[in-house]
Amino acid sequence: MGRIWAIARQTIAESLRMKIALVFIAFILVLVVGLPFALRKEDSVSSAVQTFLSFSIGGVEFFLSLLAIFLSRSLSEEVAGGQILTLMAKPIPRWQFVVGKWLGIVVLVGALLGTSGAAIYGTARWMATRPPRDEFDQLRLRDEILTARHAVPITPIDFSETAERLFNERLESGAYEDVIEKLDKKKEKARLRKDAEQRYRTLFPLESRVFDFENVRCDRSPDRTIQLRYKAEVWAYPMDEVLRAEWFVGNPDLGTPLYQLQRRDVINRYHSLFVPANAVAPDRSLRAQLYNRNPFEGEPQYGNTISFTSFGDIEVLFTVGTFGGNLARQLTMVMCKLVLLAAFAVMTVCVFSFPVACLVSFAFLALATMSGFLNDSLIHFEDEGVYWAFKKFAELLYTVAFFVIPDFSKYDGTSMLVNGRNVTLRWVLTAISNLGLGTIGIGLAACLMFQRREVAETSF
Amino acid sequence: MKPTEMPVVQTAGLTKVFKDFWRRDRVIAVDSLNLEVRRGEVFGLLGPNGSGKSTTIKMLLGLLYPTRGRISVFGKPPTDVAVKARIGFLPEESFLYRFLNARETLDLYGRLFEQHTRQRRERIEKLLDMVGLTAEATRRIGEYSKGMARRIGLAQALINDPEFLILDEPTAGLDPIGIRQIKDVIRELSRKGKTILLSSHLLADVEDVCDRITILYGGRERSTGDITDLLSREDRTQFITDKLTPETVDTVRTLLHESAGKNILSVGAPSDRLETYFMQTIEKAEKTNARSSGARRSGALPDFLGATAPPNVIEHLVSEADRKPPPSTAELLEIRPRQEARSKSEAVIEHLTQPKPAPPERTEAQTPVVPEKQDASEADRSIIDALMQKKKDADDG
Ligand SMILES: Nc1ncnc2c1ncn2[C@@H]1O[C@H](COP(=O)(O)OP(=O)(O)OP(=O)(O)O)[C@@H](O)[C@H]1O
Ligand SMILES: [Mg+2]
Repeated sequence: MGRIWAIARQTIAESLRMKIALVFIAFILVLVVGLPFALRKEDSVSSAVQTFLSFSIGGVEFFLSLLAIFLSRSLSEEVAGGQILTLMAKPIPRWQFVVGKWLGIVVLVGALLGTSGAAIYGTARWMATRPPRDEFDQLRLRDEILTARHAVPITPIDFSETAERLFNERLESGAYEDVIEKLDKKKEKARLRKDAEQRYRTLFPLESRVFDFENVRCDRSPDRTIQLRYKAEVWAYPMDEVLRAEWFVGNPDLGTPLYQLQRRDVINRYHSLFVPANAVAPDRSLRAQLYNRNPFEGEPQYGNTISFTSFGDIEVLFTVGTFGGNLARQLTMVMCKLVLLAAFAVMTVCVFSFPVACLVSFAFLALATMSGFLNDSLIHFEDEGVYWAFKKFAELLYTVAFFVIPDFSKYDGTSMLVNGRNVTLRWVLTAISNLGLGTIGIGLAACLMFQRREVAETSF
Repeated sequence: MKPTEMPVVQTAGLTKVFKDFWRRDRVIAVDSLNLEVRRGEVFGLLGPNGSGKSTTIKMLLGLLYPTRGRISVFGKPPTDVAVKARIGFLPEESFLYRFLNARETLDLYGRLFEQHTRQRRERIEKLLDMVGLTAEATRRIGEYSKGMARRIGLAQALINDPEFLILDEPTAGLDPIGIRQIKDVIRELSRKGKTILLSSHLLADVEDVCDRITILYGGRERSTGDITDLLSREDRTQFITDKLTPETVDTVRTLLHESAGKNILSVGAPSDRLETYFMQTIEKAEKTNARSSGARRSGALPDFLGATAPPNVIEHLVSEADRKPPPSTAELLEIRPRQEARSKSEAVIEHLTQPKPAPPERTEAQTPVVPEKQDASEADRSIIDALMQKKKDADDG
């Protein structure tokens, strides 16, 4: 350990004195301290804080990724500059040298990430003390941004029974008479199921609909609130961009109070209802019912049809942690990625000269960041003619590449954090174990490659 | 073989072929080398540029892997990490961290031996003192001159009190004091029982400190042995006296001729004998057209140099004014009386040594190879006796 640390120390000292790290520190300072001033003109404090958070966390991660790659230059410099000859003539195993280099990078990057994290936290809190635009702005900041909320989706409803019943009805009524030979029962039932689901998501005038949630494990005391978050579309004639309806939240059958909330919302935007937490039943279930009726007297009663594009457009949220903890968890995931990236960068310089190694590492970073997107785009790839062969080839390439390259976007909690969603500990632990395993694998490969390398051979 | 007698380094058929990108052989840097460095000796690795000295050393340290052949260092393969705790290494250039200062550099290397802080600090100060850089120890190595960096390189090689010290051209870039110091250090360490392997171009230094040498050419061993054995010539006798006047030399010559029927082959200051030996060995190797990927003996000065020197206008005008035939060599000697005074004795010696057979090559003039077969051992005693007698006579008379 003494030897590994000696190498790590040396790497850190070098990067500080060669001012590589200093450039990045300056970048980060500009980003974290300068950004809030640039966001002064943002109309509301809450959106200013959101913009700040997403840009500063993304920016810090980006710069530190570059730094992790650039710091690996130290090893190739030593090979090119001959320092490696003296080092490897000392009783330090090759693997300890490689690990020492990696550790130096990780410590430096980790320290910078920790510092930036603290700065981001402080700045966000400081921004939150600015006078809010209105009460809504203040609430939003407190309950939807600088917090950590857990989300529960709608309990899935099974429509296959309804579809079965509809199918039989239609069969008996002779609706399929003309096409009975060609009828694909499975397909028809699936279509009916989809229809039924869509029907459930659509409320004609004066209709009401029940949405159930399970496992709402929040603090049920009445002075706490839970949030019902939804986004709806409205068809009306004449066109009106406003949703007017009534929500009933709570289930008196299970002994909870019933809260009635009258809403006048802009359509196609998310809205949150704040409901006292005792609306949640003791069995942790929550019932919310939407009644498609204009509750506002004096306003015209439109023949509105309310529709939700998907069941994902309705969810229940409740606070489970603090903004600070959430930020720490998100940054832990960032750190996991940086640790893996550092290992990869060290591995490349074990094999290539720095310019080549640098390019390979950048390609890796780019692919890892975009791999989710690339995978998606592959699925939507043209499936005909000459494209077919190309697609197969690309698929093969991608399968191989993404077996090796981790999907960094899977471990990005920025959007969750910015929206005050809980970055779960389980998620973080998954990131630690998956990316940690990747790091170990890459590290082993790096050590093996360096073990085999003739360090005095400079013509690489 | 008892473990104490086991050689520190032993190689068998050690070969290194550098390959190009397509894995084709490009350079045979070291070729079937059988090296043996014994415990406690100072071993010299000699050879012209590119003869494979550094490559051999790098293989001994596991920095390059041999293409063929075996190496054992302290009875272990060179990749064995534990063995390196007993070795000190000074590479041919001082590859140090430019941004660290001298003390930090030594501290880093000390840490790699997992030395305790106290011991490390103590050694660092002593080594800095030894190489005379205590006052400059807080400056970054990047600012150091070549020789200063070299000194830190040496200090770095000694930080673990190595049993076996490998020095690749230790005197390169050093001033005369530094060279002297390194030689003193080598001798001192050798006296303390350390084994030292050094490569050098400065033959006088090698001759001063080495017990045994190997001469490499084109990666092949050309000659190995005890330095005194290699340089002693069984068929010759050498006197070394205080400086003699030409008259005395003349007397001795006559005396020798009369008493033993021998000629003095050369008279002069004692010469660099290893240099002669070295040149001979390399020449022999070159004559056999041995393959080498290193530097050859330098050729003649390219004829474009100075061929079309632009005429100096002023000089031209001045010389135009009083055009004179260029001074002859004799005239030049005349206007330099001091030179003439010195060359007087030389002229005498030249005169004395006239009758010797003309040497075939300039390099051989210093110890010409004379074909006459003479019984040297027989001559020895009698000549000295005769000399003593003659001197006594002269004193008496
Ligand atoms: N990394 C390398 N790649 C290719 N060829 C090499 C390499 N290192 C050395 N060589 C070749 O091997 C031969 C021996 O080189 P080496 O450095 O051992 O010579 P040397 O005896 O130390 O010379 P010098 O006195 O100049 O230091 C040379 O021809 C050199 O060009
Ligand atoms: Mg060399």
